[in-house]
Amino acid sequence: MTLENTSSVRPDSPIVRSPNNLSVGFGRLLSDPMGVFGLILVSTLVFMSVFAGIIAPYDPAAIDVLQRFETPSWDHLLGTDELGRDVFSRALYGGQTALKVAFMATFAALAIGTFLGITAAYGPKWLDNIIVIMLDTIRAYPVIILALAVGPIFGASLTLVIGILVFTSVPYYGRIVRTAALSVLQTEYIDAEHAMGAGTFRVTFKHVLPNIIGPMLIMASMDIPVVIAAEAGLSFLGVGIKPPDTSWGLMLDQGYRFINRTPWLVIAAGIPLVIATLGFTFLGEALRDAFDPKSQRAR
Amino acid sequence: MLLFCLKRVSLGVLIVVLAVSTLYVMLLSAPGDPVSMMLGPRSTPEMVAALNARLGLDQPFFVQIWLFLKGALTGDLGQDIKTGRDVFTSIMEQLPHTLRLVCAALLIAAGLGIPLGCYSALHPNSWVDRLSGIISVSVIAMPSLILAIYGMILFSVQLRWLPAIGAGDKGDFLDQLHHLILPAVAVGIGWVGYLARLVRAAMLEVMAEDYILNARAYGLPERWVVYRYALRLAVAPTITVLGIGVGFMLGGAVFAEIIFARPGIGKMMFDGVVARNYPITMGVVLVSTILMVATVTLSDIINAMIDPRLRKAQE
Repeated sequence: MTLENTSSVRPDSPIVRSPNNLSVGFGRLLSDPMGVFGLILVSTLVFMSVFAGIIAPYDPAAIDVLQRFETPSWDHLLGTDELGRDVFSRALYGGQTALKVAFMATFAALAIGTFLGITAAYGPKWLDNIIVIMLDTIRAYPVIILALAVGPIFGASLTLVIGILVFTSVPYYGRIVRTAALSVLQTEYIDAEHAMGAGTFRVTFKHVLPNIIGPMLIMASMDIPVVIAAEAGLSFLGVGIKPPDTSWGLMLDQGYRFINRTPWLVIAAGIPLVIATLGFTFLGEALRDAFDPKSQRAR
Repeated sequence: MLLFCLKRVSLGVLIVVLAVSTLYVMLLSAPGDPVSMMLGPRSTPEMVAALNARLGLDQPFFVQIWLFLKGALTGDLGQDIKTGRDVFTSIMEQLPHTLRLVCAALLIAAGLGIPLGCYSALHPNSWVDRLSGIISVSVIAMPSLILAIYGMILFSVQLRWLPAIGAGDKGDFLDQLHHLILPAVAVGIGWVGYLARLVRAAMLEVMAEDYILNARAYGLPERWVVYRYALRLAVAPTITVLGIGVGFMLGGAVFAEIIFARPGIGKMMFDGVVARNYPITMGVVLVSTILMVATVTLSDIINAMIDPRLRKAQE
C-alpha cells in the first residue's frame, strides 16, 4: 500500500546519499534476518523467472491429456492442470509476466509521479492546485472497479494492466514527492542557492531530486508486491493477461474452476504469488529499516 | 470548523464530478464503441442507433455527462440493458451486502490492529511486539484473492467449519454472520498488520513528546496519560489510512464476493462487465467513487476534530 502517512517517507529526514552511507545500509540489511530471508526469496524468484526457458522442465503450453490433475510428484513438482500442463513450468513463465508488470508499472508510476510532484511543488500556485486536484481525482477510483469498467472496452492485455496500475499509482507518488519537495525547497540552503543565481534546473537536479529519491525508491520497492497482487487479481477477473500468455492470476482462475474436483490445483497456483508477496514485502521493509535512520531508531 | 467541513465536502463533490467525467472520456475514447460491443457482431446499424439513442450516447459529450450526473442526483442511473430493471434500485439492493462486508473488514482491521499496535508500543521488544511485527509484515501484502481462496479450502472444504457460498438466510442474523466471517477476514486481515505498525510508530513518537512528560510530571495516572493523551493523537494517521483503505477494501470485496458467491456491488460489477451491461458498470463506478471520496472526506473531518493542528494547517 502506498499511503501518505506511512513512516516509509519522511520529508524531514532526507537520506544523504554517500557511498559510506550506502555500504552501512547494506550492512544493516544483511544483518537483518528478515531482510536476508526476503532477499533470498526475491533473488530466487527473479533468477527462476528470468531463466524460465532453461529451468522449466516442460513447455508451459504442452498439453498431456493422459496426465490431467496430477498431484505433485518428482515428475511434476506442482502437479498438472486440467489439460495436463505442468503447473511448475507455467508458474515460472507466470513469474516473468508478474515481474515485467511489477517493474515496468512501478518505475513508470514513480517517474511520472516524481515529475508531477516536483512540478507542483515548484510551479505557480494555480498549476499546483490543478495537479493536486488531478491526483486526488485519480485517487478517487477504486483500482479493481476502474479496471473492470475500462478493461473490456480497451481489450484486456499486458499494456492495459500496466496502464491501469500506472494510472492509479501515480497519485500516491505524486502527492508524496510534492510534500517532500516542498519541504526541501523551504530550507535555507535552497534560498542560498537561489541567491547565488542557481536556476530551477540546477536546484531540482542537484538538490531536490537527490534528497527525495532514496525514500521514493524504498517506497517503490514496497509497492512492488501490491502491484504483483493487482496484476494477478486483474488477470483472475479476466481483465488482465490473456492466454496464451501465462499469469499467476490466470492459473488461479483455472484452479478456482476446479476447486471442487481437486483443491490442489488452486493451492499450487497460489504458491508463487505467496512467495513473491512475502519476499518483496520482507525485502522492502528491511530496505526501509536499513536506509531510513529515523525508522531504525523507532524500532 | 464549519468552514473546514464545507471546504472538504465541496472539494469532494468536485472530485466525484471530475472522476466520473474522466471515466466518460476514457470510455468514449476507447477504440470500439460500447454499443456495438454490447450488441455483438450481428447488430444492424439501426439497432446500434436505437440503443445509442436509448442510452443518450447520440448526444454531444457534455450533454451526456450532464444528463448522467443529473440522473444520478435524482436517483436515475438508467436501465439495465438485459432486464430493463432500474439500475439505481438494483444497486441499492446490492449495496448493503457490500457495505456489511467492508464494515466487518474495517472492524476486524481496527479492532485487532489498534490494540495490537498500542500494546507493542508500550512494550517494545517484548515477544508480543516481535511476533506482531513478523506477522504484520507477512499478512500486509497478502492479496485478499489468495486469502479468500485458501481460507475457503481450509475452513469450508476441509474443516467444514464455515459456509463456502452465499450471504446467509435473509432475516437470520446469526446465519448471515456465519457467512460473513471468511470473506470479512480475507478482506480485512491484511490491514490488521498495517494498522498495528502504524499505531505502534505513531504511539512511540507521541509518547516521546514533551507534553506526555509534562502530564507524567503532574502525576497523572499512566493509564490516563496513555489512553487520554497519547492514543488520541496516535490514532489520527490510522483514520486517514482507513479512509483511503475503504477503496482498497472495495477492491478486495470484489474478489471476496466472486469467490464466495456473495451478493454485492462487486459481484454485480463483475457480472455487468461480463454481460457488457454498460449502465450497470457506470452506476457501480459512480457509487463506489462516491463511497471512496466520502470516506476520505469523512476521515479528514474526523482528524481535524481530533487534532486541531491539522485544521489550522488546512484553513
